[in-house]
Amino acid sequence: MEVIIAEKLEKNFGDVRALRGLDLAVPEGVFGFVGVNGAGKTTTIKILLGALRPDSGAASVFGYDCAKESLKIRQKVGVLHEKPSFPKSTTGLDYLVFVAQLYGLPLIEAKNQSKRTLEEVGLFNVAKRPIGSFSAGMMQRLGLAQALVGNPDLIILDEPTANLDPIGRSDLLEMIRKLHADKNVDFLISSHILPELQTVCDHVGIINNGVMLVQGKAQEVVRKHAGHIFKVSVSEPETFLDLIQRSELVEETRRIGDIIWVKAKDATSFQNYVIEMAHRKKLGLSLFQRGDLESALKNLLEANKDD
Amino acid sequence: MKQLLKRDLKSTVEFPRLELIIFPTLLIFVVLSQIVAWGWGGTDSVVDRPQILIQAIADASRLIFTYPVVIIFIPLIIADIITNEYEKGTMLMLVSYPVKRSEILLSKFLSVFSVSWAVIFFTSLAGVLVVYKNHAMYPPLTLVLALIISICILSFSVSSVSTLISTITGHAVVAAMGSLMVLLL
Repeated sequence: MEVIIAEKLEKNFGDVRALRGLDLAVPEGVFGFVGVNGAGKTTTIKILLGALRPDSGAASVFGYDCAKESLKIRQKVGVLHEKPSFPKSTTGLDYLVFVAQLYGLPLIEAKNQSKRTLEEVGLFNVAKRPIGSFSAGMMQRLGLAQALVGNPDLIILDEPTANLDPIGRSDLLEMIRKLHADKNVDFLISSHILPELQTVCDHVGIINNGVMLVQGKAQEVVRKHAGHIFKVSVSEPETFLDLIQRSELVEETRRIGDIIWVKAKDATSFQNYVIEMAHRKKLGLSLFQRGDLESALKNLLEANKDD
Repeated sequence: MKQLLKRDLKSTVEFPRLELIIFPTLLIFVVLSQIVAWGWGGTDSVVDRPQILIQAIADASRLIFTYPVVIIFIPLIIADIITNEYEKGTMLMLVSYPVKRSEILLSKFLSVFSVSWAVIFFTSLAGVLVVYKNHAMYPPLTLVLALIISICILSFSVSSVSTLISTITGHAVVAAMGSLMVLLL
C-alpha cells in the first residue's frame, strides 16, 4: 500500500517554478528522496504537510488529502525540517514535553516519552540545559527527537545528516533501521548525501527541476542507471588509465583525486578485464566499486541536461 | 491549546519584553501616585483654586499619560508576536505539529490580550484612585466594574489590531508601527 501519493503537483513562487508536475508514490518502508539543491524536495514536503497549497495537482498521505485534512496527517507524521529552530530559552526536555502534548499525550506520559526519546538521540545529559546553549549537532539531534516524540507512523526527515558528525550519522542510520524494524515506522528521507542514504533506503525517487526523473527500488534504480559506472582506486593510476583506454572497453574516464570514474561499454567484460589486469600487472587495486546512487544521480542529471 | 497558550504567554513576557513592560508601568504608576498623594490633603475641605488645579492635573494625567502610553507601548512590545515566529523560523515547526491554525492564532491573541490587560490595569490604578477620590458619588464596586470593563474594551481593541497587523506584515517593526498608526487614528 502506498503511504504518500502525489499527482502532477505544481507550485510557483513568483517566477521560480519550484514544482512542474511532480508525481510521487511512496510505498511502505524507507524512501529516499534524492535531488540536488533547489530541486523541489523541501517544497514537496511542505505541501505534504499542508503548510503550502499546490497551484495544481493533488497529494495524499495515509489516504488523507493534504489540502483538506492536513490535521489528521500531522497527527500521524513527525517531521524534521531542514533548519529546525527552537525557542532558545526553554530546555530540551520542556520543548519535547510541549510537542508530545500537542500530539495528544497526557502530561505524565509525555514526560516519560520525552525522556526516552532524549535518551535515544543521545541528549539525555543535556536535557535540562536551555536550547540556546546547544551546538549545531545537538540542535539536529533535538530536531530528530521532536520528530520521534509523538509516536508517528511516518517520519519525514529533510536533510537529517546536516550538521551531524560521523558518529551522529551512523547513529541516525542505525536508529532509522531500528524504528522501521521494531515499530514499522515508514520514512521519507530527503537528502543529497547519498552514500548514507543508499545504506538504509528500500526505494528511491530522484527529482530534478521539480520533476520526478526516476523512482523505484533502490537497487534497481542503481543497476539501471549506474550499472556500467565504476569507481576505481589504484596505486598506479597512470598505468591503469593508459591500460583501460587502450582496451576499448570504456566509453569515458574521469579522474578526481585518487578516484577514477569509469563509464564502461559493457559492465561484465570490463569487470573481468580489470580484475585480471589488477592481478597480472600488480596495480595495487584498493577500491573497485560498481555503480552507486551518487553515480546514478550524476548520470541521470547529465542525461537530462542534453534534452 | 493549553500548551500553546502557555508557550505564547511565556514568550510574550520573556526577556527583554518583560523588562520593557514592567519599567514603564512602574514609572507611570509612581508618577501618577505622586500626583494623587499631592492632592490627597484637601479634597474633603472646600475646593479652592489650587485644589481645582491639582485635580485637573491629576484627571488630565490619567487621560494623557496612561492610555496613550499604553496604546503606544503595547503594540511596540508585543506586536511582533506572530512575525517573530516567522523570523525565528519556529512557525514552520509549529504548523507541522497537529494543531489547528485557528488555535495558533487564538492562543497568540489571548496572550497579547491578557498581558495588555494586566499592563493597562496597573498603569490605570493610580488614575482610578484619583477618580475615586474626586467623584466620591461612585460606589467602589461600580468603579471597579467600570474599570474592568473599560480595560477589557481597550485591551481587546489594542490586541486585535496588533495581532491583525502582525499577521499581515512580515517585519516586527512594521507591525508595531502599523498597529500604532491604526490605534492613534
